[in-house]
Amino acid sequence: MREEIRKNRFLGLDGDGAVIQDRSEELNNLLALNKHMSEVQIEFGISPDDLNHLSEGNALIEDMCATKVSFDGKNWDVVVNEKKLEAQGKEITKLENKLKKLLKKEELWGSLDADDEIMVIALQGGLSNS
Amino acid sequence: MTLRLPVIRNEPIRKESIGKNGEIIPKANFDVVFARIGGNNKTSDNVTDTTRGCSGGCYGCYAARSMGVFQGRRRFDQPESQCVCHEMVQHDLLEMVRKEPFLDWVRNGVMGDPSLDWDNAVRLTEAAGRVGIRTVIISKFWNIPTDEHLMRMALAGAILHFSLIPGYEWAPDLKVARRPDGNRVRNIMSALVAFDKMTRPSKAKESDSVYMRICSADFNMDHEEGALLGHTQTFFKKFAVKQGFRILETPWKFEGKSDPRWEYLNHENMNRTKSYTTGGAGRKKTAGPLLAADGFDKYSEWKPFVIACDTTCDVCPNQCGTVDSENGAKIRLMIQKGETIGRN
Repeated sequence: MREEIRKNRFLGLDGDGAVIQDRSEELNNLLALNKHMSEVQIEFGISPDDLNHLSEGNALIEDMCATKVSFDGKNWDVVVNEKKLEAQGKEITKLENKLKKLLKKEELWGSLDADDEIMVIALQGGLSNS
Repeated sequence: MTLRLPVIRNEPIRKESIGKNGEIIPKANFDVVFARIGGNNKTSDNVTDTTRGCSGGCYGCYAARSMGVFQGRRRFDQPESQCVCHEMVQHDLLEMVRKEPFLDWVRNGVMGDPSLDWDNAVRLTEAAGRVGIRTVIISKFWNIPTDEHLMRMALAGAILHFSLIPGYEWAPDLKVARRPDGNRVRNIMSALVAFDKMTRPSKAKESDSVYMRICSADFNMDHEEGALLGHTQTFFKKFAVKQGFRILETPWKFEGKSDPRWEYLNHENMNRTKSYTTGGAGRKKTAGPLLAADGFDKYSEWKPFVIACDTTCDVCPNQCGTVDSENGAKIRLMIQKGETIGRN
């Protein structure tokens, strides 16, 4: 059943190899796949509880570590790469802004196309184990 | 029976690099940052690493010698687990599908071995599975996944590729030194068989979620130790055939006498590799594909039980990591229909 749902989920191409523009069916199949996965996880007593989520924001950055090799005029040394760590924070902001933009678009137009709708659900954590 | 097995030298650990003026420059560990889905110059945007770096130390490892490690001045021998954020992974995968609608899988294990942190590999697999993308995990199984790991990966649609290098692994009838377990491959084989039982569609003759990658060589069977390496290679080929695990053969390319396996090879059957850049004779030597009993057309067939990584990526019918941007969609569709690609 899982494979059937997965196969149906993937509706990227039609029989002639053309990219399918209307992917609304895909959203339904994806939601069915998620429902099925969650049900089976419960059935087998699997409860993943150590997941990282976007909603945790900058708390995710706390355990990160970025270093680089730097020359101080006398010696080469391994130092903390502050810019890279800042960039990780910006990655979170970028996705948060993308979500806001899509929600605004939905508000203005009344609905979103399937691709955008799937993206909104994913960014809101709707396609996650929990 | 306890045999004296040769110890195959490991890839040297490079803690330092040499600067322009001959100065010694230390190397940094890999950064611990978000695991993102991206690509490189040989692949589409469908590769990632939940662990960067590897403590395995296989001699000749492409990742340990890659430009990212060399020029980035990174310690490859110090693996670092990356931060897997569900929503970020799913965002990247949905963007991947938007860009290349024919892609339905992601590879985990390019610049490191996912088995060094199975929890992390499983997290990414689940995030991908929930957007309908299958994760191909390429690993040497330095650690064995637990039953729960296997269950979670099976549910999320993972595909396991066990990469075997004779000399670092031995056939299970050969005891390895004084290890109490005798030989770690028994545990790997058990995990692969268990995963296959969880995932194989009913009545299917072959597994669709377990593959055996064999780094093959033409070993000298008249050499006492070469014969043990050859025996190991043959054992795993037979094991794969018996279990219905399709084989992806990687004909090993040897640099020369510096390779620790050089003395165990049958040199008569080796030729120069084909250069990726010029198409002419390359620097390394190889015996080419050996494991397909009846042979196959490496430019046009993906259906045989054994396929080999023996062409340049642009002409390979399997398109395992590379998608030809013009023909990718067409090829993907033909694969789904089970058709044969004709040579252009």
